[in-house]
Amino acid sequence: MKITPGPRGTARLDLSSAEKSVFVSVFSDTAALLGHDEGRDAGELSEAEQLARLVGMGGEVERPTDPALLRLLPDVDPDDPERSAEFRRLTDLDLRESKLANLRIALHSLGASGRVELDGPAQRAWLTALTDVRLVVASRLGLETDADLEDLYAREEELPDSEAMLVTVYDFLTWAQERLAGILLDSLTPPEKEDP
Amino acid sequence: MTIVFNDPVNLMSYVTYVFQSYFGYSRLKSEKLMYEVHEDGRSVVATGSREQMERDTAAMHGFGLWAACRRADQGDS
Repeated sequence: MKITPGPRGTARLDLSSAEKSVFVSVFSDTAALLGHDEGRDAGELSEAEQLARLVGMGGEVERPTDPALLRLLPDVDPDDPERSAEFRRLTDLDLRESKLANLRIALHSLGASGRVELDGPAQRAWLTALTDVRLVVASRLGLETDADLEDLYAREEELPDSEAMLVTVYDFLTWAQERLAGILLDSLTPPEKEDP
Repeated sequence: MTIVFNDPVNLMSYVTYVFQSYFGYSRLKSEKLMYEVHEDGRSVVATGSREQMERDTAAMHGFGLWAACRRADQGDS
């Protein structure tokens, strides 16, 4: 995998087909997690149901029981369950949709054969999609604190195969995100033009 | 106020990018807030009306940052 800055603020991803498959698989899994929590896509709701949700009349929205999904759709104030439930009712659909939109953009760009070229908006979608998939993988690995992460790497040699595989995927995603974030950050205000 | 908490997943570069691009903060201010999150475990990244803070918190959730919205008199712990 090579991720390099291209002309006019683009980023270029040179990926093997196996690497592309990993991205497609993790992006699709997270999209399924966000889209099918209630057994159906937001797109499958009737127009009246969608409208009701948009104006906050959609009734209770369940707080996710899956820790990975709860990490993607957190409480607005963990100390105030009532306010969090109300806020969730108003914002759940939008938040899911914005995350799904990023994942769809990322998946779409992976449909190209050969090199993947990302313009500015696609790089931003990728970056946030990578955050969401890394949050899901981290949650599956039980990573809640920096200490958990250190502990995991300390045990790396003894991990069962399935977990070792997840760690490999996580490291791969982290590396890709680090590269992309660097490229995007460089394209924002250069530090030398910084106000004091 | 909108508080962002540390987590083991979000990268320092990404958090800086989010603060700079969403709030329009300078690179220096964005990095200062990022280091607060990373080293102190939390940082108050914005203050203002309840509605604005809820919007900002929802936006941080959209970016995958671990954020919460609190009244200023509740403290930031």
